[in-house]
Amino acid sequence: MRLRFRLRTPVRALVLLLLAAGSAAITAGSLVYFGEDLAPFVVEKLPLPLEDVWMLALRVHVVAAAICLPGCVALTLGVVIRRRRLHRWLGRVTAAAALLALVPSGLYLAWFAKGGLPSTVGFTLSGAIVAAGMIQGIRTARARRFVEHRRWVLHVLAQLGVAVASRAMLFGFDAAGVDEQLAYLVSLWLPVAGGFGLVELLSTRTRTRTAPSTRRTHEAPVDARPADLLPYDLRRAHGG
Amino acid sequence: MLALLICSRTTFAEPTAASGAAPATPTAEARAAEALVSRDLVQPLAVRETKASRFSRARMPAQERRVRILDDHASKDAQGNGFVRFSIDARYGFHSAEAEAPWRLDTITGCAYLDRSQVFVKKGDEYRPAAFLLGKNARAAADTTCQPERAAVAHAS
Repeated sequence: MRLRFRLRTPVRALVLLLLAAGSAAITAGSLVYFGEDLAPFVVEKLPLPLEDVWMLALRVHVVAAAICLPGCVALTLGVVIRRRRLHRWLGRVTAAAALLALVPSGLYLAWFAKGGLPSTVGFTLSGAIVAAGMIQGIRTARARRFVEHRRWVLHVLAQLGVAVASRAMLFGFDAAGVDEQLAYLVSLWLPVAGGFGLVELLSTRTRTRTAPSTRRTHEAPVDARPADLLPYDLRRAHGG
Repeated sequence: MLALLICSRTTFAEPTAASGAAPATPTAEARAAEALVSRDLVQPLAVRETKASRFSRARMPAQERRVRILDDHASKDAQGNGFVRFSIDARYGFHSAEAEAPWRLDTITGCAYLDRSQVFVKKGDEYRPAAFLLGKNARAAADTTCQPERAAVAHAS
């Protein structure tokens, strides 16, 4: 148990570090979408109906992604969680970027995704999880139901992490010479489904370990979790 | 089984354009077209791909490409300009020299106008200048481009 707890922190740090590095790499690679020349990804997609609309959606999507993924990573850091006002405002900016820009543009781009209908469904599902997770994350935060808030925003983080995981997988599949279409679909669906499953698994374990006091209301905003499961600010308050 | 093989029309058939085998002795036109496609498309494309981010959803860069010229002699389009069709095969992935990846056929197709030193590539149902694959926003060429005269008439009708 103690060993598992000791492993949790470095694993969590490594995952966040990889997500941050992946996000930076994606953002750097996306700068070509704003130049005069067409990026290889765009060349590959064209011709498309309403090319200007697609191009606008792509640009909105990459800008929003450059805000949302680092934003979500930052929101999970203890240093941000401890500063409630910063956490709140960063959460608002990230949520607004996700709900008003990232998800709508992503849903449009999904219609023209490589891989046909299975890809379209995969991207749409991922976008729906992000939207639902973010809305529920906001609602539970406002209701001060932090256990549920953590579960919903972890779903958002997991789906945003699909962008990093799937690119890494595409690179690996290409190195292994796997068929392009198959590689694309597996690299999409595995992180989408796997991310969802992993978050549910972690949330279920948390709920099980904190039962029966996890159901909290407006009247009783008490966190009854063991100290090692509390957010950083509460952990400190409990002396954990 | 042997009889079947001997009687088969494909056993001793000449290699087709898509089979990956080039004609035994390419004509001067075919050689010139191959050089033109290599100079104007394959080489600049390889240079461009080395600069592109690999952490992308775009197709990974090819490790190797080869040009196949599909016509021994130029065909004329509706404008009377001669062109030669070509196809480019590619190898993807990281493989050792002993275990080479199989060629993926026809990853790029198009035609080359030798007289005008122009290369066009097929994208969807239309042809665009080769510069399109190099990132230039080149619009689709005229309908007659890369279409043999008779085919162009049939297409128009």
